Amino acid sequence: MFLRKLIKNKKGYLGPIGDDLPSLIPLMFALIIFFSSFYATVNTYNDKTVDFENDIAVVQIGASLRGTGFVSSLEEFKKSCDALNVRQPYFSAGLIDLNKDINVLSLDEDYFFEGSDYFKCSNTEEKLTQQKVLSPNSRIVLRYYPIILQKNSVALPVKLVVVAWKE
Amino acid sequence: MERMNYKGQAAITDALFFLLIVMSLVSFLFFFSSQYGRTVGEYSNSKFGSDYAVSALKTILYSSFARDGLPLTVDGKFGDDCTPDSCSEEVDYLIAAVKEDYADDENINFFREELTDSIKKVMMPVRNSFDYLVYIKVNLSPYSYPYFFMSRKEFTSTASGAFITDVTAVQKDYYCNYNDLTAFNQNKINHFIVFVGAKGQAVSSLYLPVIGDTEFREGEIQLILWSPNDFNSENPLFVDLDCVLREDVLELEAAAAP
Repeated sequence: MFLRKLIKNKKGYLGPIGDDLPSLIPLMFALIIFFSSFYATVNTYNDKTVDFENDIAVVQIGASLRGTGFVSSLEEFKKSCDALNVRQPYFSAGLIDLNKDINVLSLDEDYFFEGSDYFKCSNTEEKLTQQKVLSPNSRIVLRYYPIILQKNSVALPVKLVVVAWKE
Repeated sequence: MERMNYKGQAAITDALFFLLIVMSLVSFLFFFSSQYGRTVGEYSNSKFGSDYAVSALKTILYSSFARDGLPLTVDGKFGDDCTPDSCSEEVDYLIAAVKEDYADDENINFFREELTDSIKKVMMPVRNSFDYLVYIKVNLSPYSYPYFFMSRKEFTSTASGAFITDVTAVQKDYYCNYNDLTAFNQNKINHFIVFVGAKGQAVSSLYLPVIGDTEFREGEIQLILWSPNDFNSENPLFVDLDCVLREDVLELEAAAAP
């Protein structure tokens, strides 16, 4: 009798914790949704920021190496290359034949035009094929620009290829 | 005692309100992550198109070509292996030849194919990303267009029922204003450019000599790039440009040659 009265008087009351249990379900659900969305957004933000940094670096490298759009000698090209002060992202740039297709994952010196040295500019010391940082998982930006390369009395149309990447 | 009985309901209402607030925040986060960098990305692509157009036009104008048709280089490399037999000795700037070509009959026909080949070669690295046109305009009254080349992709789709199963693109080259229509004018070109949405544009002034005239004709050469567009060749804006396929033009000219 007493128990029945107690139950009747405290209808729906399961105790201080038990009473709040149903409200914990939407609460936990909201927290999970919020933190997973926040995590995804931060990841997207970071990824896109890396892409922009690569894009900006490629534009700067391309503009610097193109100069007036006319490369008259290897010395001039090397001078433009030395003026670049890009530490990150890694990049490799150079002049190659307009008709030549390239594979950025195996971009070695044979691709580039050669004078006394190759028309190549990079902030990596080793050949790209030996660079562990350039892999299929790297975030790569590749841009081409047509440019004139003067060789003796011939003004040859070639392409300046700029590859920049980050892990 | 009565208030204590409703305590559980109040807590769940609070939690639902909290969920509502969180859902709004999540929506904002999704919106932010989908929109973040969109403008920068578009600007970057547009900047690339514009940079490419300027570089390409400069390269087309200043590149050398061989008047005797021999190659300028051997195997695409400079080297001592280039002998007079294998490489040309008659080297000139392409634009000089184009001016010379214009001078005799105020038209570009003798070196037209060399100019077109040079343009196609320079545009090759972006052939999958952009369609383009190049034209030379001479400031006469009305304007004259002695050269007008367009290269664009035409798409054909294969459908199975309501679904498109395959899309193929074929690159087609045209010479426009082929019949030198008096009705052809800059407005038609401008309307077409607005329609396709230029992603890069470069212009350079030209001074063209004419035999028998002491003054140069002022003109310009324009290069315009746009992202491939799936309009068909019956589109009135395209029809207005009076474009004829390059291979048809070559066939017609070969047939008309004495």
